[in-house]
Amino acid sequence: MGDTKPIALITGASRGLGKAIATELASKGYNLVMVARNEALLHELAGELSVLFETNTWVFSTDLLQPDAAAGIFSFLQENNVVIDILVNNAGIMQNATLMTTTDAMIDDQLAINLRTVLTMSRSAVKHFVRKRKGCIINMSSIVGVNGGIGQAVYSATKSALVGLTHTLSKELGPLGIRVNAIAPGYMMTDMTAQYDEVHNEKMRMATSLRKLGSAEDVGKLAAFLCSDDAAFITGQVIGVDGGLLI
Amino acid sequence: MTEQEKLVHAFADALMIEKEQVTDELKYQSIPNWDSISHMILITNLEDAYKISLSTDDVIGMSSVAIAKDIIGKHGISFS
Repeated sequence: MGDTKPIALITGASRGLGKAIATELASKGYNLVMVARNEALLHELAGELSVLFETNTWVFSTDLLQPDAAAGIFSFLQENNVVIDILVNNAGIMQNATLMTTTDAMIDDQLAINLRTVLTMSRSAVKHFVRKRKGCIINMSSIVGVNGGIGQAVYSATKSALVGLTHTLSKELGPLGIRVNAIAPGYMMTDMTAQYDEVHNEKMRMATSLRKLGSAEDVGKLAAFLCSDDAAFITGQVIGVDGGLLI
Repeated sequence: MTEQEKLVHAFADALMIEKEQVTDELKYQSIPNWDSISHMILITNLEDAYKISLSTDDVIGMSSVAIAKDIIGKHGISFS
């Protein structure tokens, strides 16, 4: 592909926040590497973005539970001579349970996808960014990673870990021109919160200062800003997109 | 450019030192310029120079110029 658009890699790109981020970045002129389990959904989105924005895309289907997933993704990039400019560590899973009812499998799976994959993906991406002395990593944290949330011991722990990771990587990589920020969404109307009923949604709506629930697009717009040169002096930040939600 | 010259160039560029300072005895963090930041640049320089991919173990283990030669040698590059 002969164009010079910057390339963003997004994990969990097939739906929810990842899809919104992919769409927003495509609309801003980025080409995309889209990673998720569901290859059919990825190809469907790739086709839409190609028509809408003439976006070039590379689709890679993988299960991020696998320890070698990141290695597989970056081998794929190498084989296709793709050098990324941006990494959006978006993929995540949320398995609600009080700690006493949390199984070992729930701990392992959430740690694997929400944290381990972010570490391994970032480690590989850094090599791309070091060559350019420029790069951008966005980690998808959560409001519960900052404030905690009942029934989300493991999930909140992983999202809190991303806050620490974001601060650390911003310090480690800043001298090389690489910016690292995190987004902490509040209660967003996405597939991840589809498990909740209307009563719960209304309760959460009333808990926000703005008396409204967020959308995936709200997160997509912030991600696009953080990726842009308009955010060139912003690093090491954890930015909430929560409508002023109090939890 | 010989393999040795590629190595010297990669080190000198990454660490921002004179080529004469790149000797087998030079060790990681033995001079201020070879710190954790320049080490990352060094790794990518070496990967680009020799068209190889260095593993995390290689990155961690590359603690001197001499050891760098050994590691790169595993990829079929000869310095003799």
